[in-house]
Amino acid sequence: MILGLSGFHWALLGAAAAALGGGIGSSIGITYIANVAAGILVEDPEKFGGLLPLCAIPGTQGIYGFITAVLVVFFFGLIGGEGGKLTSPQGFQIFLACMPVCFACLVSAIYQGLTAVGAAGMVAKRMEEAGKALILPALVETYAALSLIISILLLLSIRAGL
Amino acid sequence: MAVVKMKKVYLVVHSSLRQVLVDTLNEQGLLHIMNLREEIAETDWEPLLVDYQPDLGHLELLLSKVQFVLDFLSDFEERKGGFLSGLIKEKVKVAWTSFNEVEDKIEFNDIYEECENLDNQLAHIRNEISQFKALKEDLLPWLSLTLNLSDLGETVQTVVLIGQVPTPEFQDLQGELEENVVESDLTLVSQDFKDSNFLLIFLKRQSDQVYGILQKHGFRPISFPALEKTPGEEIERIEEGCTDLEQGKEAIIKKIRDLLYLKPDLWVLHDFLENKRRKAEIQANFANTREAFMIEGWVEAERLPEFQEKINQISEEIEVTFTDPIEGEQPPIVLKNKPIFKPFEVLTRLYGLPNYNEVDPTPYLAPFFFLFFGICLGDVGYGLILALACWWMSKKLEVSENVKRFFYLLAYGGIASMIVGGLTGSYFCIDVASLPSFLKRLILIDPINDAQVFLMLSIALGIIHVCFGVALQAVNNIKNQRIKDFVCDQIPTFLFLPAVLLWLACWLGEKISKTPPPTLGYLYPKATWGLGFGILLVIFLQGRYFGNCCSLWREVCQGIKGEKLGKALRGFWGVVFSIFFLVSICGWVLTLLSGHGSSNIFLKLIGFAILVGLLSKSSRSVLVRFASGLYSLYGISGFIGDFLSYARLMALGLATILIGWVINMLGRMLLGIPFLGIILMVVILIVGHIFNLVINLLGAFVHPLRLQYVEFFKYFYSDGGRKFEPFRLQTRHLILKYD
Repeated sequence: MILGLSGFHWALLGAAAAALGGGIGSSIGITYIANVAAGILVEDPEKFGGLLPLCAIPGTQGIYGFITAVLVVFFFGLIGGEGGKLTSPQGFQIFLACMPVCFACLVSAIYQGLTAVGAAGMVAKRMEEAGKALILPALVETYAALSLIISILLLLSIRAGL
Repeated sequence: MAVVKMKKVYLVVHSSLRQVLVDTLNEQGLLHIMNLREEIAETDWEPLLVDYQPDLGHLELLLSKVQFVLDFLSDFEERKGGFLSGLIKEKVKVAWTSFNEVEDKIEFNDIYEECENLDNQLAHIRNEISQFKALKEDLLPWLSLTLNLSDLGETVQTVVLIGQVPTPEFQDLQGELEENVVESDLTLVSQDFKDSNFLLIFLKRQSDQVYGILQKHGFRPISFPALEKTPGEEIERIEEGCTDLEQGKEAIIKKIRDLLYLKPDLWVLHDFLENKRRKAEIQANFANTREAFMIEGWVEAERLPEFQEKINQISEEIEVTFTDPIEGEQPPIVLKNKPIFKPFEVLTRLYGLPNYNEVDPTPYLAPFFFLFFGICLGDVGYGLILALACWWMSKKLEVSENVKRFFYLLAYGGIASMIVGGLTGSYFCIDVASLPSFLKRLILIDPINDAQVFLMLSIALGIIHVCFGVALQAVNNIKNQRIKDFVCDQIPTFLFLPAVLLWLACWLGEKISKTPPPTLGYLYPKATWGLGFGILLVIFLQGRYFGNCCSLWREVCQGIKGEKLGKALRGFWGVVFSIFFLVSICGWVLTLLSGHGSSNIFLKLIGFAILVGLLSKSSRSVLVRFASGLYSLYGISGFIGDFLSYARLMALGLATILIGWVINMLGRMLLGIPFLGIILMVVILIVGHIFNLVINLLGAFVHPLRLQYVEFFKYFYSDGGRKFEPFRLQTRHLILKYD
């Protein structure tokens, strides 16, 4: 037993942490940009089309966290009851595999929200550049996507070792 | 499929033809007019110029009036359609002839006056209503007072007044009055946590004493001079008045709504006037003299005959000359692509147009964007919905050409994701196991269970994409006769990349697999040699080591010719040092690779060379070249980052499938509820899948686009072209139909 938790508990903790990190990050990130977007829309409701994608962009990290959590549930049978067979070290491995998504998504979503705020200023001044404005916050997303990939690969390799 | 060739045109025209010519140019919309006035103002011809000041005041005033009426009317429009109409602006269709007659058709001044009148009436009523409301607010605390308000004031012997003191003071006030002024009557009318309102009656002769006490407790007298009856009756009267006013307001709003049918016509008028203004403004760009004027502009080379014919139709007197763009001139840019690539021009425009002599990247990015979009969305059902929805919208909505192209682009994306979805067995993210067998046979990889393969595939696509970018850069360099850049930059990259990838594969293979296959043992040493040579190539070619050598040799020749012994010797020393240094570096690397002999000798040689090299200027330049080569080698490591960036394709593809999978699972769980279950399931499936489609559509658009802009374009493409904007009729609210 690691820290007195069974494998099942560790796996649950991992899934929860992934969903939590992504969810918290995304909600903070979206709050930043949506506040600014609302301010711009007061002046200029026509820019809705340009601002909505910007507001949605920090939302992907929440989805990545969610996906990781679902994969843990799905791969290790946390719903069906097979999860009870996991040994404590195996569960701990699952927990560790969830960490990249948990932290990278938490942080990158917040900063992506801040980048989007800058980009929203661009949209406010020059609507015709809305396309470019969308690309800049997307650069931040790279690291969230990479963390998702590494988490998935780790989960796959743990499943292969069961 | 490239940037359209342009011709530069000069028109010299007599002033009498000014209006006809401007109208024709405006209608034809072929000429991109440049500011010739400014160009000439900087030359010796400047004294010939005459100022031309178009009279815009009247037009501006009229335009602002039209804008006012339009804004005024839109405020009273009942919103419909909601969400989607906010994203896409619909336009009005108008025939060309009725567009030109719009000024005669509507009596704008009458409309304007009516609107202004209605606006004033409305403002008046609103003002009155708010006054009434404020009065009512003031009266409310006195509701329980049954005294007529006109009875307040003084009688022969007494004073009757109402007023308020802060609530905490009220008790003290009451006590003090009772104690000091017995002949007074204080009645509390209402009280809240802040103020206490009361009625006070006292004898006139005691007023000094009473006022003194009142003042001490912060008394504020209150009066309603215009009102007579009791507060309750007055409030009733106000409420009646308010209802009347509201009715009047509704009547006016109805009148305004009755005017709404004019809106399309007003849009037409607005665009017509704006075009008129543009026609007046453009003339400031002409070089006007006393009797004539001259226009400079650009025309698409292909459409020049058409242009010339039209001009000749106006008058034979117009002088038309044209030339090819001269070196260094930047003509405005028109992109021309095959119809199948047209929608992808949206992406090129979004980044920025190419320069006149550059390639148009549209056909190169199109297939990759198509494929990447498909991988990111990656579902047959979603692709089908997207393609159909976009196709339907592009047919149904009256939107501009650019928006239409965007719809086509997304429709292409839908088709792509149908293809990819078919190959990965994703139909509304339904479990692969429950698919009919003929669909199962189509499946190439299962993205969840073969995630590693999917990842490798994404990165492999990235390698292809990036290498294609470098190849385009090479072609660009050859085309523009920059052979040196091609040899020094692209050739080493192309030789180095396969070498390093092969070596990485071998290295990983040896580390990971417990029993390496025999081919690995054969390949590994070869890959290591390849890597070594690749590194040397990159360092010495990309650092321009040999280029520096050549320029040193040239110095030797010049020195000998000019009989400057010092210069020749310096150059010669540089060349000798270059060769020495090159040999020692190569020797070191080769001994390291072969494992024979000691590399220490070469290391000592290198150290010695660096020490000696630092002493003189010409040999220092050799070392600088070498250092810059090392930096290039470091720069090439950026390729690895670029390749890994394509892993996002896999992440986004998985995201679609997994979210859809969860939605399906939720639906299945709901089915367990009796009766209601099936309805709930249908609702959750529809809402959930639409959510999944929308959220992943965003990712599937932004990320492949980023891969084009950041990873692909940086090798061969730079923007900076100016858009071709011919002088023509531009409409904001209309789509014109020519007969």
